[in-house]
Amino acid sequence: MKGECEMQHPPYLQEEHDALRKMLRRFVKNEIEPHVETWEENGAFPRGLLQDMKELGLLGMSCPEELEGLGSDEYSVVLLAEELGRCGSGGLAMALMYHAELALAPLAQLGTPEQVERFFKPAMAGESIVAYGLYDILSNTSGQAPLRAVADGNEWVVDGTLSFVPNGAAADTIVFAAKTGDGEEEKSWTLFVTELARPGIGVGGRRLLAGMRTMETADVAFDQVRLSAGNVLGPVNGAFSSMKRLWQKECLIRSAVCLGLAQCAYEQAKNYAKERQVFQRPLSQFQVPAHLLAEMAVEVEAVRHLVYGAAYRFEQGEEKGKDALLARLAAAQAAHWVADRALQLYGGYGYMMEYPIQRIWRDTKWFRMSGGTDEQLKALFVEQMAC
Amino acid sequence: MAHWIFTEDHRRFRERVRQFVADEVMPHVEEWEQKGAVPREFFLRCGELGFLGLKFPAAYGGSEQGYIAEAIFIEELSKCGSGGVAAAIGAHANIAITPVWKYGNEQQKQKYLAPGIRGEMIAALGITEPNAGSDVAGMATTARRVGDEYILNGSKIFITNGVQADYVCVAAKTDPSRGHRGVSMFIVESGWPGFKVGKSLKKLGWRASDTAELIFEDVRVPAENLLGEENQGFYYIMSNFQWERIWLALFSVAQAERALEDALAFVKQLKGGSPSTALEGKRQLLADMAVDVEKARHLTYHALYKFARGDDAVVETTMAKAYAGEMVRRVTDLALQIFAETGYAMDSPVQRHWRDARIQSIGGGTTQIMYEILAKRLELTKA
Repeated sequence: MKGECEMQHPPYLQEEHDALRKMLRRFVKNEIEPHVETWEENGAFPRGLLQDMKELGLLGMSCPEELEGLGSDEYSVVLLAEELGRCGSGGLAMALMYHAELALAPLAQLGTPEQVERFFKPAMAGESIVAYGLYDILSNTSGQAPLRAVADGNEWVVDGTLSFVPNGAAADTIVFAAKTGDGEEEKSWTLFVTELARPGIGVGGRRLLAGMRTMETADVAFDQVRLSAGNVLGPVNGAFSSMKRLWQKECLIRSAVCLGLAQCAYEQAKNYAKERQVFQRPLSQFQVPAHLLAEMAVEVEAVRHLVYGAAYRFEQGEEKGKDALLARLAAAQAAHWVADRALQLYGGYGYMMEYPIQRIWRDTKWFRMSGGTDEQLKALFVEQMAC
Repeated sequence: MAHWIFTEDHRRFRERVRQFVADEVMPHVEEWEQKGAVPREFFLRCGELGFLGLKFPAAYGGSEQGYIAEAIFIEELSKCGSGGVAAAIGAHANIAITPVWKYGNEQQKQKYLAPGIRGEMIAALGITEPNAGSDVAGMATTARRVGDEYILNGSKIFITNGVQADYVCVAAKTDPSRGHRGVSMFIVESGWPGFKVGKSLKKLGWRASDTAELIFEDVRVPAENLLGEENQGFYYIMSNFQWERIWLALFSVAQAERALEDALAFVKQLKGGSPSTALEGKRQLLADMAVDVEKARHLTYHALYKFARGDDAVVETTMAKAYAGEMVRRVTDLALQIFAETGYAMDSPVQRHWRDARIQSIGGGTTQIMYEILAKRLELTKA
């Protein structure tokens, strides 16, 4: 019957989310897009943005109001990630999301009042950057041994290296997980938080990657670093469930950034194709490019509804890892495909650094291999399906 | 993956349909595939169980359960392992009797819609012609007004249920000089003189569905069998397409889901060890298939949601049909890769999933036509 589904509004994206999206669009358009080129050239985290974000409540958005967050839901986080992605710099979007949401959320959730004072509040004030050392934790692409923390009296001695840590070179503080037990996985991990300026912690030089330039990636090495109980975040040996939840949140954020990047690539290609004259007509009036653009639009929409659907289930507390995993896999593959086809539509100009499409092409590739390649994620997925 | 569009009631209904399909459809799939048709008794049985009237008003024997319930019936039937069975029942309920419901008058609805809902009459939709498929307005069948009749001449092809149909909703040109503005729709009974089933077509897949070439030689159609208004037929056809696209997209998603389930079960019981089993490779394909299915599912349910709300859903339904129609081809192709020769043998259901899936990017509008529509709707080709 037409008119059914009236009571059943799509349960995500309500009016308040529309308002949020409008605000974010304005923010990205006015405060970010004009500077993306420069920030990409510099390859540095745009610290200046932190104050603007703080004013708009975008730092620690999902953190409770008592801690100066907005208490926002998961869709709002997804929207933030998506709208940042639309600026066309994957590095900028992920650098901001790793700091503003992923690193701050566990601090708000698990931090003692003292840890909140020492680590959380300066970040919320826009004065410090927190690196997310949990990156790659469940997929372990680098194949490296995880960090180990051994109890020594009332201290912990941490040893090991974290590779390719997002914001590693820009951060003041790091949240990370280390193995503190030898039994089953679920009972052997502990979360820690510490300033990076500490004896034994060596932050490597900024690694130059093919894309994601605005995200200052670096290795962080721990050489017999002594941490106190005040650096333990949450229960000893009790971090696994938080890690799993954060991993899913990261999957959703990555998918949303990919969605934004894909939409940006599609819009750029569409606008170019409508302007570019070929055989005395706009390129977009030829059937092959028009169909390709239509196919790209369909890909973006397919990913959009999958991502929002996965966010919905995550928000409902239906934390089935494989939903977030599928969304991440789908979004990364689609975004890179759309960016690649968009580059193709640009012809020779697509290959020029002067045009932004090559950046989206470079950036979207990262999502298919960082913190778990497509293939590793697929293997993880199949494991969860018990095959 | 669970989806918010379904309530508890819907979940119970789905269980009921699933049981029905397991008990009364699956055991007959081989037989109906061989025969090349779904027996009349089965249409009647579906009618008896109320499955043909889910979205129709009670006044004609429908149960008014709505589009979501209809979607559930489509999905579960489409998982029976025979695209042909799902196509026969699906075409009847979703594209053939629907024009009568939307554009018919009271008399036509009592005479043709109500028996269609009961499964007593089988219906088909006749638009496509041997020389005009994608180009609907290019049809050559004519209906010339003479007194209180229209004289119908021409032919149609690829008509699902065309062999068994009791009536066909036929599109014909009442004014050939006006292109798409001269098309009308008629309810044409197959028993009338001049109505011929030219051929029962042998197909690559959908073999349990009888598909016909129809020939009209001076068929005398009473004027009272004109559907709606003269020369408005093209618009009726276009609006009928929205639900058709959702039906086919749901159909594709369900078929793909079935292929994935079969492949998952198969891989689970494979033993690794030797490189020749390529187990890891097969596992990777499973993930690719799952991603593809979920994208199509979410896109399709979004279109369903919009349509069910009464919103204009041309873009969404077109996107869903385009994507799902290609997705099911990819997924069934990968399923066959996973099963390899075991799946390729005609006694395996997997080769049938693969053959049945192939039509989805063609029937109900080719993927290319979907892109043409999107190119216009998204203003891609606009100056």
